Amino acid sequence: MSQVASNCPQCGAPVVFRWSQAVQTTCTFCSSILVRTDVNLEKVGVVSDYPLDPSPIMIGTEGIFENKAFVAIGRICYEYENGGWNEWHIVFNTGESAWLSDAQLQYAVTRIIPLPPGFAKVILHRGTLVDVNNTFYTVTTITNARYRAVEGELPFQFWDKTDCRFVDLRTPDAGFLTVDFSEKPPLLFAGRTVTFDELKLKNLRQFEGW
Amino acid sequence: MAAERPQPKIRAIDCPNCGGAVQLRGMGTSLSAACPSCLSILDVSDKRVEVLQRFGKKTERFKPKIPLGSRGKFDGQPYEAIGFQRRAIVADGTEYSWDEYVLYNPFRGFRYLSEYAGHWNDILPVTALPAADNSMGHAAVSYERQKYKLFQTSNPKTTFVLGEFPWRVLLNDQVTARDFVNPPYSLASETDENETTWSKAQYISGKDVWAAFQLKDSPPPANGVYSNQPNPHGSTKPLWGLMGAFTILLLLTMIITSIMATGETAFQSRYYFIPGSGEPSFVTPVFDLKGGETNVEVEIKTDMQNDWMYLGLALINEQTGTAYDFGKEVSYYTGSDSDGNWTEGDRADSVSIGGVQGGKYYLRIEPEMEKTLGTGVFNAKRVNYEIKLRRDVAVIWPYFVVWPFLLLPPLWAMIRRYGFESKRWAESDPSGIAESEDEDDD
Repeated sequence: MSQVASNCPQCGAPVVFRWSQAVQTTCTFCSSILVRTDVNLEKVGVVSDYPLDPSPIMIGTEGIFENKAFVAIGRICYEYENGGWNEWHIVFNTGESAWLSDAQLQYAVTRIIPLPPGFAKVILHRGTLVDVNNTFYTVTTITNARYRAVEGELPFQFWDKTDCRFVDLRTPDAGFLTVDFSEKPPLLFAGRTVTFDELKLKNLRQFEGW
Repeated sequence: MAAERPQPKIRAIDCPNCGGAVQLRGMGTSLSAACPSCLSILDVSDKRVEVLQRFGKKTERFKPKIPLGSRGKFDGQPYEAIGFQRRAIVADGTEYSWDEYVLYNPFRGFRYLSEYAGHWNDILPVTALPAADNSMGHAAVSYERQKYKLFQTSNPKTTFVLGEFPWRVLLNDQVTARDFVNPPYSLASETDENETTWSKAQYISGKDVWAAFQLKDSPPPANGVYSNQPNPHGSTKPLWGLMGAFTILLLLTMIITSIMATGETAFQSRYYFIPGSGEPSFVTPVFDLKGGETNVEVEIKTDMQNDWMYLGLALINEQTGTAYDFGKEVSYYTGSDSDGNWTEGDRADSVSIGGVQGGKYYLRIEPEMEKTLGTGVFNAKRVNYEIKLRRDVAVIWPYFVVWPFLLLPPLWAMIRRYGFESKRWAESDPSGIAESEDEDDD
C-alpha cells in the first residue's frame, strides 16, 4: 500500500493517503473535505458535525474477512428516521476495497458488483424476490436515508449528496445485497452479514467503562 | 471549528418533561429512553432530546428482575441491561404479560432476554432471512438447516417501558409476531409497517440468568410448559436402542442355550392300560439322569380316540427318596357336524419340571380313565401309550414371555414425552385465532 503525502489547502496540515486509489479524504485537523485532482487537493466542503454514532470501528481499525487482512480507511455516515449507520470503507492487503457496514452493531461486508442486465427495470417492494447472478435475494428493507458526514478516504467523490434511497435484500444463508439509488443507474453492493467476532477486529475505539 | 468524533461514554441528560436525570448507557445506539422519574418516553437519537410520550400520574410501575445497569456474561462476553419492557397479548379474553430486557455490548451489539412465568429465553437478532418451509402440512420456516414449526401468531403490545431501546418504542405500539419452535430454540418474526425483523431464542433456566448476572436470592420457579422449553423426558431413541440391545442379548441367550441343551433321552418305554383291570399304578425300571441340575420333560403319546386319560406321575430319586409329583391329562376327540370335520385336543402331550438333580431315578405311573360301559374282555377298552423322558431340554417360551416387558421402558418414556409435547402444543395458536376471535367481540 503506497502512502501519498500532500498538504491540506485549507490549513496546511499534512494529508496522508493510505490507499493510492482514494479519490477523496478529509483533513484530520480542520475537517475539510478534500478531493484529488491530478496532483493537487481541492477543498470541496467541510464536515460540520459527526453524529452520536456508536460504531466501535474507527479509521485504522484492522480485521480479517475471508482470510484477507483489511484496514478501515474512511466512512460515510447516513441517518434515517430510525437512527443511523456507517459504511466503513475498508481496503484489503491485496489492494481491493470493500464496505463494512455497521448498522446498530449489525455488521455486513459488501463489494460493488456490476448491475445485472435488466435489473434497473425491476420494481423493488418489500418481499420482492430478485435473481442476481443466480442467487435469490428477497427485499427486506427500504430506507430513505440522508447523508450525514464523511471521514477519511473514499473511492469516489461523495460530499454533496442529500437524500439517498437504499434497498436491502437478504438470503436465508446470510447473503446480503444493497441497492444504492443515489446514483443513476443504481449501484449494487453484494456480500454477506458477519458477526463481530468473526472479523477479529483490532485497534477499536474505546468505550468508557468497557 | 473542526468536527470531532465524540468519545462514547454514558450520557447524562435532563428529562425535558420533569427535569429528572436520565442516564443513557447505550453509547449512542439508543433511539428512545424512558425517564425513570416521570416515565415519559424520550427521543434520544440526537443531541437534542424530545418527549415522545408522556403519561398521567397513575401509571402502574413494574420492577425489572434484572436491575438496569447491571452486567451479565453471555457466551463469555459482558452485556449490560439497558432497557426493560413489558408486553402483553390477549388470547381468549385473557391478557398474558411477559418481560423483555435489552442487553447491550458496545462491540457485539444487542441481545435480549425474555421471561414469562419463570421461563427465560436468550435472544439474538438474526440477520439472515429464514425461508418458509411448509412441507409436511405444517407452517414452518427453516434456518441454519433446522426446521421450526409455527407455534403462535399474535399481536403483542408494549404496556410498560423503562431504560433505553435501539428502536423507537411507544406504549401501546403493536406488532405482528410469529413464533416458530424447535426446542430449545425458537425463531420469531416481528412485523411493523416498515419491516420484518427476525430473532433466534434459546430457552434458558432462571438459574442461568441469575448466574450470568450474579443476582441475589433465587429465580422464580417456572410454571407450566413453555413453547420452546426442551422436553425433560428427552429423546426415546436411547431407550429404544437399549431395548434393541437387550432383544439381541435375549435372542442370543435363547439360541446358545438351545444349542447347549443336550435333550438326551434318559428313559423310553411303551405301555398299555385297560381301565378297571386291577391296580393301575406301577413303577418303571431305574434310569440314570446324568450331570447336574437340569429340567426334565416327559412326552406322552397315545392312540386314544374320543377319550381322555390322566397320568399321575412321580419322578422318584432311588437314593434319596426325593419325589417330584406331577401329572398330565391327554384327551382327543374327533367328529363331524354341519361345519365339517372337527378335532379337539391331541393324542400326544408333554409335561416339564425344572430343577431336577442328577442321579438314579424311576417313574411311578398311575393312569386313570373312564371305565368302559360294557363288561367282559372283548368290550374292555385298551389304550396304548408311550412314555419318553428327556433331560436338559431346550426351553424357548420364557423368552417370548419376557420380551414384551422389554418394550415397557421405551413405551413409558414415549408416553411421558408425548404427554409433555401435547401440553406444549395445547398452548399453540398458529393462526392467531384465539386473539382475533377476541377482537371480534369488541
